[in-house]
Amino acid sequence: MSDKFQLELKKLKDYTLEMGEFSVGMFTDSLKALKDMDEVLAEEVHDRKKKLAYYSNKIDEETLRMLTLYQPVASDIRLISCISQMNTSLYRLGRNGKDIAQLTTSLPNTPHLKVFNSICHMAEYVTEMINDALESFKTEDPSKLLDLEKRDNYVDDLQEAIFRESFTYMMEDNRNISRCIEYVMISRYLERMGDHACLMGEKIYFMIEGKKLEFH
Amino acid sequence: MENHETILETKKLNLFYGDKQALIDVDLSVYKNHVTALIGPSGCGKSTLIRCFNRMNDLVSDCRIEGQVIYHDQNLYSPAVDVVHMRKKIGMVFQQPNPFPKSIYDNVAYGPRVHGIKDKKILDGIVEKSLMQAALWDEVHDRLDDPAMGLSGGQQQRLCIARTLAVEPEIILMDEPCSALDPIATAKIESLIDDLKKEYTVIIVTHSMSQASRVSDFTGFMYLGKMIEFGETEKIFTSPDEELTNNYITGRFG
Ligand SMILES: Nc1ncnc2c1ncn2[C@@H]1O[C@H](COP(=O)(O)OP(=O)(O)OP(=O)(O)O)[C@@H](O)[C@H]1O
Ligand SMILES: [Mg+2]
Repeated sequence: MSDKFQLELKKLKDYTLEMGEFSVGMFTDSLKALKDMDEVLAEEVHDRKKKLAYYSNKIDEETLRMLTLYQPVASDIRLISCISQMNTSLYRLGRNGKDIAQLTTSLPNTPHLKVFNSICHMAEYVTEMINDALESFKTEDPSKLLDLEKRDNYVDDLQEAIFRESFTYMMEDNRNISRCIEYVMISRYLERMGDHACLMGEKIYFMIEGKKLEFH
Repeated sequence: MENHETILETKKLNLFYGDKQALIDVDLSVYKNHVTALIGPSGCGKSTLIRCFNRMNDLVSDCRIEGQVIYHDQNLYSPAVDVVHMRKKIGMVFQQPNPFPKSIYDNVAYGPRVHGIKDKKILDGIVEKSLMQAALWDEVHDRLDDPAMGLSGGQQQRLCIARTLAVEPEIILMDEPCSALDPIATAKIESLIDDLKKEYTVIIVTHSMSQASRVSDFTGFMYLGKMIEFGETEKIFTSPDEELTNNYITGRFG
């Protein structure tokens, strides 16, 4: 197909990477706001949802337009179908950032409990998985995708542990309840984000290699 | 691919026009009751290859062939082959619709007559059946004696398909059958091809990637006389093994 198409495809890929950065930003900033109990930052993250939706709609429109106009095949269709999945996943990632930010502003700011350290660790871990997926998408080097499933299993274990620990805190003292519910919810969001890193990873791997890599 | 029956097969097929080599070590299996598409840039040898399947290249004076084309356990190029009978079994439809300057009826009845059928009732039956199979019957049944040249391009092409079907071939070769047709006529031929594979095996050369992906089950990509890649159409168009295939079908060259 034409150079015009290749140029547009390149632009769409860059735009997807831009959205990736934006969504990861919402996500990490929401956790930062939670950690520092920074309501101003939380509000600001919450407001970024409009721009997030704009990114997502734009990518939706562009992929549909390019499918219609150019009927892409082979590596081109693999790229577009990958971008479509990434759009869904990155949108969810940003929305989770928004939701975490909302918790920060709506729940009482009692001091964090020790279990919060596990939340921070889990958040960093999941963020790295997502960044590795984005990096592979950018460089078309699949090596960092191969152990995503293993890493996702670890994320599941972390969620379990946080759930159990939070539960113990709630039993101990019912003033811990609101914080602990918050932790349980957030660990659930984080666990979902691990899944999305895998979903993106599968599509990115297929985009690069033309072969399936299935995580279970 | 393993569980498909091979109907036609080339083995290390090499073809030379004078000292210019047009096919290089082509190995290809054509599966029965499936549609095989041949794609590749202009001059890569698609027409040359498809013409080997019914020995049309015999007509080219300085054309030389090495290797084999196996059809029903027999090399098509062995001296024992009855070329007339073989061409009956392996029919060809060309790029330009080329009906004879005769009536619609006579065009379809031509082949059977050549093969000795004279009985009017039998011929009537063959003409009706062939025109039905070529999805043309409804449009022409009340004017079978009209000149074929009066039909539209798309109708003429379906008439040529009917003419090929009339002698009950096993394999139908089509060299860019839609390139002279508008999108509606093209769509008709494409859906016809899909129907035909129930009874026949179709090999189609096309320049349209979307046509190859729509109508075929298997696709062979050729480049500079070589069969670069052959496989299931879906695989070729989503994740071809060869970079060259990928670059061609995504339009990075050609
Ligand atoms: N009769 C002939 N005499 C000499 N050379 C020929 C003859 N027919 C074809 N060739 C050459 O053989 C090569 C393959 O030609 P062929 O017609 O098979 O290509 P093709 O893939 O069908 O191209 P196109 O897509 O343009 O129809 C070309 O280099 C062509 O010039
Ligand atoms: Mg040709």
